[in-house]
Amino acid sequence: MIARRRAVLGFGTLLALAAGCSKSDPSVPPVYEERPSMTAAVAGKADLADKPRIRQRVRDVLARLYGPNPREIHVPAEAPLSRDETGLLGGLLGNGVRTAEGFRKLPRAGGYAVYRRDCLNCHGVSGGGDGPTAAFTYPPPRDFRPGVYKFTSTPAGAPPSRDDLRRVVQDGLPSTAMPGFKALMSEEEIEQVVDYTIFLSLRGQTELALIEEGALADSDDPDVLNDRVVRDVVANLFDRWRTAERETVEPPTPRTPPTPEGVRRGRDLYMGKTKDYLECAGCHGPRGKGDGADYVDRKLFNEIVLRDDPETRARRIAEFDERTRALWDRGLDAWGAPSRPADLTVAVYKGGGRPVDLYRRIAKGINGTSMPAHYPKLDPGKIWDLVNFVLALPFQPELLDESELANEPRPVRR
Amino acid sequence: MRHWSLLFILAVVFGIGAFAYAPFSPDWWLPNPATEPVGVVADAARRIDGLFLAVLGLSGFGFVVAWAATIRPRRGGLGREAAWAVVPGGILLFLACHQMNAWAVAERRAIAPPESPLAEATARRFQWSFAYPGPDGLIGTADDLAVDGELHLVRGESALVHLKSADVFHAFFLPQLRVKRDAAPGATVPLRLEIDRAGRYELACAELCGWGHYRMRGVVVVHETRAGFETWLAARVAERDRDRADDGPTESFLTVPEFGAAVRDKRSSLLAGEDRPRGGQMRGTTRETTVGLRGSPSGKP
Repeated sequence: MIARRRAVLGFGTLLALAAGCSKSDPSVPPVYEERPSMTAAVAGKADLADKPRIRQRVRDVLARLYGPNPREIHVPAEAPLSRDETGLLGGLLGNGVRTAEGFRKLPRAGGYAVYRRDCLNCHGVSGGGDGPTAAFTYPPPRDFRPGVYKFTSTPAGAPPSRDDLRRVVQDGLPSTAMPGFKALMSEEEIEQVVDYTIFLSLRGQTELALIEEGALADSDDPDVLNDRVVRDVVANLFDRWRTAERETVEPPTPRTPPTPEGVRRGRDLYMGKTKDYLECAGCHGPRGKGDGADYVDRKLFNEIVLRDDPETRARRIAEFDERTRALWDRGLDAWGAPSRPADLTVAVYKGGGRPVDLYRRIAKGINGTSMPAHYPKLDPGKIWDLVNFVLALPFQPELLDESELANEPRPVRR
Repeated sequence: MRHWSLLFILAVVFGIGAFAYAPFSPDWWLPNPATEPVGVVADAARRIDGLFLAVLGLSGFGFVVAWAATIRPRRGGLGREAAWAVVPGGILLFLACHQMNAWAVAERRAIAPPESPLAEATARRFQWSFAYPGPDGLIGTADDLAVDGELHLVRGESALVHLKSADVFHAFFLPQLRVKRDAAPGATVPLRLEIDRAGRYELACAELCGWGHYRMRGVVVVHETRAGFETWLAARVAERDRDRADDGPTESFLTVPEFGAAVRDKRSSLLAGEDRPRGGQMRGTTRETTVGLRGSPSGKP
């Protein structure tokens, strides 16, 4: 009897061990998160809070166009994604393809698998910048869904080029939580994940456009968001991505040599002493430390954004005086996160430190932030002077010392 | 079920079997490159392995002897007492002497003779950043080459790398080379790396540094020849100086400014992701720790 009981016990243990070692995934399958404006009123945004029929239509259209969940990806025809070696559009996104004959395995893990491994923890399942670790980062992870990216080579406000996304994935964004993946991913994996990022942007932009379109419509309209409307929205969106890819900004003239005179010309532009009346120092500060008068005091900013308990942030902001409050609101970027001008004295450039990167930052601004585009207003020679000045400033801080506009007392040097 | 106790033999079989199999697996024993599960790819690593095996062998042998002694326990007797004191003491003394050379190679040679580092490794949450000096030979100046996540070395050439941290404690961990050194904030840790096989080696952080610790990884790329390394360096420098994104001609306007050291301190504090109080403590500590590297061009007066 005892022997039999032992046998049962042993068998049970073996069974438990086998179950623990199996590779089946006990977690719930991932689902795309919807925008809050699908189901609730959001201040300042179009919403479908009281239009359940249109809401359902948006869900159906999204599931048809892009797939119902991340495990089943649909790729609309003509999408600005790359083709795999067999010519399959969006073939880099998944690890297999379902055809009439059945499931065909593809020779790669696919963009979703790479994204889930290395990106999802910050950028979230639907690319909303809302992954589990997002709360611990400043600046916050990019929300891919509006399709706006800060550091691009395309005209101001346009979607990024494939190269831009590839560069950020490869090299990361210095001084942020975004690491460079060049050493951690193979080149194929980087291509796959770039494709998946574009896919998430397309899906998010379509969702946004459909919500806006649906919010305008009458909730009883039987013909709302019909196939023709959807086709137009999607075609328009894809066209914008394709156009941007062709229109990257190249400096029309070669870089001017960074002679002392050239650097000083750039300094004068920076300080607004020329007829161009640039206001760089208003944000980046009279000494280039990113502490200009047009932004919230840097100390206060750091205290609230970096040191404070995030839960008390709203309360502290409510306690601001009117002027600080206005400056704070001004500093919010297009994604609603607090942003601050770059400290130009530390030689760390988020968008890349190559001369061409700095040229583009100045010529076409930083999307979604207060950094404006300067190109048609400022001729390329002057932009190069500014680039040379910015590159020299960290190593020659005295460039801004002798300026009469820098009227704050000089710090004591030890 | 009468002979169920025979199951215990499985433990013995597994123990011995694991020891027999492990040296031929790149993962079971001390980690090695998959292409070379048996060999070790650096001289210093071989010394560490030798030490490990010596300690393992001695303690394993000692364990068996001590276990055998308990089968028929005997008490008392000055001779036996003395043997139990002297033999383990002798083993410890032997190990203390035996490890000195490995320690000297791993630690002391890193700082003598003084020389300028090949690169500076800065750990920050959660990324390994490397800086190579430009033509002026100094790190922290405008002509530096900054590379994230990749440390490049030349096969068979002994390279000095200065290890720093921009924020919290990290540890520079190269399992295949048996290197694990802490990167302490404010200190410069000299690290000597010499690898005798070209290839890519995994770099990890071995000190819990925050929520992203698990993915704070990098790669050490060992070039077969000096020429390969120089080619890589030249390509990265050309990329850094790029003033057109298409393949137009790019001119390099390198200058050698004089304010390198100040910038280096500022940069490492910015990489920490927040404005920490500058000067004073940080800078003082950095200067102090570079005193140990007298004569090194980076230890500026």
